[in-house]
Amino acid sequence: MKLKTKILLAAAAAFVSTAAVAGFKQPAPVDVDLVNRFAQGDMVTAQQASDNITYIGCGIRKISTGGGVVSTGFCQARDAANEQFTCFTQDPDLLAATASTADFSFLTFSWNEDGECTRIGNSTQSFYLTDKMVK
Amino acid sequence: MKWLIGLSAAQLLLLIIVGLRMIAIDMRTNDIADTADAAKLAAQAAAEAASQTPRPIISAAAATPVTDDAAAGMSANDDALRLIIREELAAWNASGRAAAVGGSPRAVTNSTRQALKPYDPAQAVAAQADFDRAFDRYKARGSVDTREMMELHAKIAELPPEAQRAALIKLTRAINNGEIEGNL
Repeated sequence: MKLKTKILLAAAAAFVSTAAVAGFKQPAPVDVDLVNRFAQGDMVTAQQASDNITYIGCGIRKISTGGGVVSTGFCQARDAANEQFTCFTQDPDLLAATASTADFSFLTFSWNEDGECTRIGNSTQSFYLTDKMVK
Repeated sequence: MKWLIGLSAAQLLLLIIVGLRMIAIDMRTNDIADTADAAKLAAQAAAEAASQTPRPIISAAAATPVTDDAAAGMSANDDALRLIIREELAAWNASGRAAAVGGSPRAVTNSTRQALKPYDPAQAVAAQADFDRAFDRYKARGSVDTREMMELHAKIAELPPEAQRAALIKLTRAINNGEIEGNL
């Protein structure tokens, strides 16, 4: 085998190898649906959006009072179309869902007419990480 | 001489009779002692079983020190003792179940304590007024920063549970309507 052919094969193999390491990717841009009271998106895609308005996340506040600790959870999102919503919860199970959110999670939440969160979901998967983060 | 031999034989016979009588008395004494020991052991076992219950047994049979005479009569009290033990075990089991159902005071959750918190009406009114003032101020300004948001949540936490919910609805509605710009 000629030297030139060897070099070309090595370059091709290196390209194939890089593609395999990157793995499956499935970015989830933030989408806030005010009609159906629903929002979703992954935090990495939101953080790396080309605009400066997109965000998504959930959090929790625990405040100690004379009668015990009052916990309030919340989820909030704004998409590229500038549609935004914030919901809150004091339900123990939904509070646990907000607390289990990871740094690079995909988030999804719904709310009722009072702005109370009715569903909070999160999923932490490799395909929500970008090439920039894993290289 | 004959008289002396007869007297010795009679003395020997009497000694044999006395010896046999002593053996019989000794055997009877051992029987009585064995019975007393058995009664003592039974009484101790019952007392130990009863002492594992949270409440002490206060029956006369168990509280009285066991004597030989009392031990002899203990078998007559066996049924009464069993009845007492059963009653104590039943009471102990019942208290255990009650603790399991109701939980210990340390197991009371924060949310339970929150629900049990006796809200003073005047204090609740003052806390509500405090929240309303802050809310109106931020609404007039049109924004709230992260520190103010935390303070607002602290004011909400001082409200009674139902008022907390109302305040959170009010706050999130203002944020979602764009009346107050700020993030939670």
